[in-house]
Amino acid sequence: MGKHLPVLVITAIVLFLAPLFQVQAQDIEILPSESKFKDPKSRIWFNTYGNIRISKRLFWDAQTHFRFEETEDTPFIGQIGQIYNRHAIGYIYSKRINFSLGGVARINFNTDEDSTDRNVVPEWRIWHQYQFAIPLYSSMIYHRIRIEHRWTQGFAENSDYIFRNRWRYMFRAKIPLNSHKLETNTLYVSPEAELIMQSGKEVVGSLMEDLRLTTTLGYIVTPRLTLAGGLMYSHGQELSNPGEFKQNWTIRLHCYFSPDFRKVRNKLPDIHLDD
Amino acid sequence: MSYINALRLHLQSSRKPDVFPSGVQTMLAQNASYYEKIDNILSQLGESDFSPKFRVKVPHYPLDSVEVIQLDSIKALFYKSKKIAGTFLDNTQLNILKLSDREANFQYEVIKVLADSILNPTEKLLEYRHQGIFEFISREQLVNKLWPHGFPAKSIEVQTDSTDAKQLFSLPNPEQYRFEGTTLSSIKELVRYASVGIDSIQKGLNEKLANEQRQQELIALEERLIAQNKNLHKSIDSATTNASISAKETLRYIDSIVDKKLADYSNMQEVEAKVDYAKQLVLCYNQLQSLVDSIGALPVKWRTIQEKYQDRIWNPFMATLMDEEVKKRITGAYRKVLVPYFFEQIRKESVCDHAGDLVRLMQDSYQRMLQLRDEDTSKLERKLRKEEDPQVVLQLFNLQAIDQN
Repeated sequence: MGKHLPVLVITAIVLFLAPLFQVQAQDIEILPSESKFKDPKSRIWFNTYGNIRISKRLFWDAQTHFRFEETEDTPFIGQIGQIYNRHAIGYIYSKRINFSLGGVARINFNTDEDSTDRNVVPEWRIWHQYQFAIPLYSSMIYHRIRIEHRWTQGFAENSDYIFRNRWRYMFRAKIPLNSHKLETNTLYVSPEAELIMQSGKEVVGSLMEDLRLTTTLGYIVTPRLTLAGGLMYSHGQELSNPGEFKQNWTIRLHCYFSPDFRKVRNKLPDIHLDD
Repeated sequence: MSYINALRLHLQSSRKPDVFPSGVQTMLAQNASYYEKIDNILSQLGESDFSPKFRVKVPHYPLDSVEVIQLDSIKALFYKSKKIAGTFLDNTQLNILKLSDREANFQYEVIKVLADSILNPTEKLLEYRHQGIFEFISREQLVNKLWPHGFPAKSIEVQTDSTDAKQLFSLPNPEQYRFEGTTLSSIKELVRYASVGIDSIQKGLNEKLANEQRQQELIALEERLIAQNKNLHKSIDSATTNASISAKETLRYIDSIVDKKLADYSNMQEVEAKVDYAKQLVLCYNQLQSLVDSIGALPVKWRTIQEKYQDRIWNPFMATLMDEEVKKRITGAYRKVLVPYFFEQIRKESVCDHAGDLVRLMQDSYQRMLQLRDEDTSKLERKLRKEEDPQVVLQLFNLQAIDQN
């Protein structure tokens, strides 16, 4: 019985998906009989995360990322892939819970070296995020739900925008290595896993856009500045064919800064939020 | 009852056999007391004069006006001398000193002889006068009674140690004291002799005692200095444990001057100067002690300041509260400008002179640091930028700089 179980499950899935393929059959490539993992690409991301306090409860979330990827000759940093601007207004519900709502303006560069299409296209998103932190011994663990409404277009001339929703959940821990808590001059390690699902008219089988597994090493320089770097493995279904999986190895370098330009007298006495 | 005293004085001095035994005296006194009791009761009823009214017949030698004056001057001289003699004879320091100092012992003994042979009989004489029985005895009888062996000689022989050698005491110009004879005038001369004698001894003895006192004082001072010196070294040792490098250097400097000053003292010869120096050194050591204590307290104070100059802020990326160092220019000015300035001032020549000011300034600076944490200091922080002159920093902190002179 046990050895028949996988066969039964696969049969059930195929039966369930069958009507979809019948409808879409002429638009997409035929699913391969086995999932196909493409060769991994190497990338490097330079990420800045600004968190600028604008009032007791509100902050401006400003992120700019520069994402490079390999070329045939140069691994990791061969060419620019995306420039990524993510902004939001965040609301501090408590010191452990915060929400954000904002937009993304991303510039996508055509990284297909053989392509004759456009080199640069924009991408737009509206996003909202819900983050929950839980202290655990000397560490902190975080749950992050991020929902993005995304408009993208291909590099081909006059290609239309397609709309998709992204459903992202990230689990992350930050574990101090040389201190009993996360404080100034602390080195910490941060394992994280993020699952990015997508949905939308154009999304037929490629529900899992990306699964990212990262380990980061960070250093808290001051309470207002943290530097971190890590390595991420990710893979996900290609939109064009759910049977094909892209893979990436990405070096991620982060700079987190959180200035507070408010005058001292405005900060006091409610600077401590609710502790 | 004075008639009994007068009678007794008279009978004793006339060297007659004791015809007035004490039993009779007691009986008369008892009788008189009964009379007195009854008189007390009667006097409550009205005026009364109830007494045995016994009378005795004794010769009377009234005082003439010259004798009254002589008695007064005897009295004055007696009280003056008695007081001086008393202070010396009861002086604990002299009583100890005379055991080791032959000269002091001699002077002590002379005073004792003068007191015993002149002052004590004179005291009795004055007592008779006080009792009002002085005039019922002849001057000659009086002298014989009080000085049965005659007046003492003008030079006094004193045995000052266990050997038989005796030392002589006499006043210059002894012939000016004419106390041959048995008149009040001779008694007055005698008392004057004692008075001048005691006065002359007093001068030498006072000097000796003062000197002795200085020596004692010096010994006490030295004991204190040595105790202070030990304590200082101990404090310096314990302060060095947690001290920064520059604090250690400063403590080493203090350590060296602590011993140097004591060495300077021990090289001094003159007692007078030594006492003065030792007194100053005690003060100096006190100052250095509080200075060392202040330096020893600096690490703890710095920790307190550091804790005080922390602000708990919320880190959005960690979602935790973190301590952030605030007003770094102020803490920096304290640590990099003021504290080195304190050390520099300590290493100046005359540290003892301004140690008190320095201790105060160190304490004030610390207190000011605690205050500044809670004050609006944005202007001050701007002014402190790159400021390295301790005088300016002190001024900006509203602290009184120590006098540079």
